[in-house]
Amino acid sequence: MSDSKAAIDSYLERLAEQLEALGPAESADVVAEVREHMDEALTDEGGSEGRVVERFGPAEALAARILEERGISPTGSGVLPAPWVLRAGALVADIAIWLAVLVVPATPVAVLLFFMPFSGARDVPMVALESIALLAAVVGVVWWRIASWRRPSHATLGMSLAGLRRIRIGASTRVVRGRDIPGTPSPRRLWPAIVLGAALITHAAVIFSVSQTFGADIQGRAQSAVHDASVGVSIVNDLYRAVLAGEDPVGSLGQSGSPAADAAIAALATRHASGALDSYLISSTELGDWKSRLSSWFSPPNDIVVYVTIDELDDTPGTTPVLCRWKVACHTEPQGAGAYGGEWVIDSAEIVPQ
Amino acid sequence: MRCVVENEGVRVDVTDQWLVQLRKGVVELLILRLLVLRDELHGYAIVKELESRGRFVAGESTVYPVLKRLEADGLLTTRWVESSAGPPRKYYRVSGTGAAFLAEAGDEWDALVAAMSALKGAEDDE
Repeated sequence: MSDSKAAIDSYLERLAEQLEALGPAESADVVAEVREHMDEALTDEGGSEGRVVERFGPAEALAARILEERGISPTGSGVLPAPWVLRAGALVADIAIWLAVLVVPATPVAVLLFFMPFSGARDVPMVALESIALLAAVVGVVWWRIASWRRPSHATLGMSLAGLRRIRIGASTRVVRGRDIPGTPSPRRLWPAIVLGAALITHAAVIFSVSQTFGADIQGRAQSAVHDASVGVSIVNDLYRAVLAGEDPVGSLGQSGSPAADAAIAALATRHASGALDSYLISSTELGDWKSRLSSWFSPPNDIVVYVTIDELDDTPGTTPVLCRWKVACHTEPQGAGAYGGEWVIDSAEIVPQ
Repeated sequence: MRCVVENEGVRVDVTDQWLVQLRKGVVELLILRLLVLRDELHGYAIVKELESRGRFVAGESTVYPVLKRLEADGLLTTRWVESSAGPPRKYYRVSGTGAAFLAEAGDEWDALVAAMSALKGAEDDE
């Protein structure tokens, strides 16, 4: 193809783009007629193709005149924009499809990120790299879809479903109903409908999966809380029984957690020996601060802390119970296969002022 | 000689502007009259015929938009004819509606020319 012939083809291509508002049939008719005119001018008059093209003036100006003669101004008056309800519906459908496209490849990475801290195989550089890759994929897909949405002569899947298309009018574009542009073939809706259906099923599956995961997580947390509280109560209960029975309290525990714990246990034994402790009641149990799973992704495993408050009773009439608050802790470490564990110890105790 | 005026610092060719407006209304009459005369012509021939009829030139960029409107308005009928020399040609012919419009527009044109001639004659007499 010579450069001049390419110039004619380029001219006619630009002319066709600018005449979208006339519909494909009439636009093709005009382009065919102009091509025929140019061919005949070349045959009849000779000369260069470039000169023949010049006689028509710029393609954009010729198209603007043709549209103006047909009642369509360069600003688009004369062309009905698609109703906003249809445009909004098309956009929602497209967003649903975009998100589904993103969710499918993102799921394995998300699962990996979710379970990594609990498997003990956490690797911060890998997490960072995968996060960057996921972010890049999200940005890339979103950018590509937005660029497609803005491109004239292009109908996204959502637009096809709603019977819309974007056409060029002068220097701008406008989304119109296909049926408002004469000669526009009916959009194919079957494949877009199938894709949208698959996207909705994907979203339903993700929502169901996430709700199940969170439900299981909440249930697991509740079970852990009950377990931790019972362990804390059991340790303190064993300590008081040993003291009241005159046994070695440290021996009943196996080990104490710190010098502070040793001092607290010794003080307890002293209170019993002095007659200030004849019996006891477990007054209350509370869990200490346990970091959420989200924050645990980027921080070391946590201590589980349980506070057990004991009413120390003196059988002597007229005396008031002493409230002693015991801190029982377990420093957890990953033990493989997503399990965590550690040894429970008494950490410290304090007399609660009344 | 062109009449050029300066409006808010912008030079405007008043003659050129007037010619553009005049052509917009007159070219369609010229096309219809030409097609009545020749019975049937294709776009290239219409442009060449108009160009050959004096300095009131209506080039491709003017003729085709008007042809499209006349066709859309039903004043012209068209048909594609296969050509042995090249691609198919689109031929234009004045429709019945077009002929009726041309008759009415012709009367208006004649009245306009008569009025203009009368004024010109009176001006010359004075």
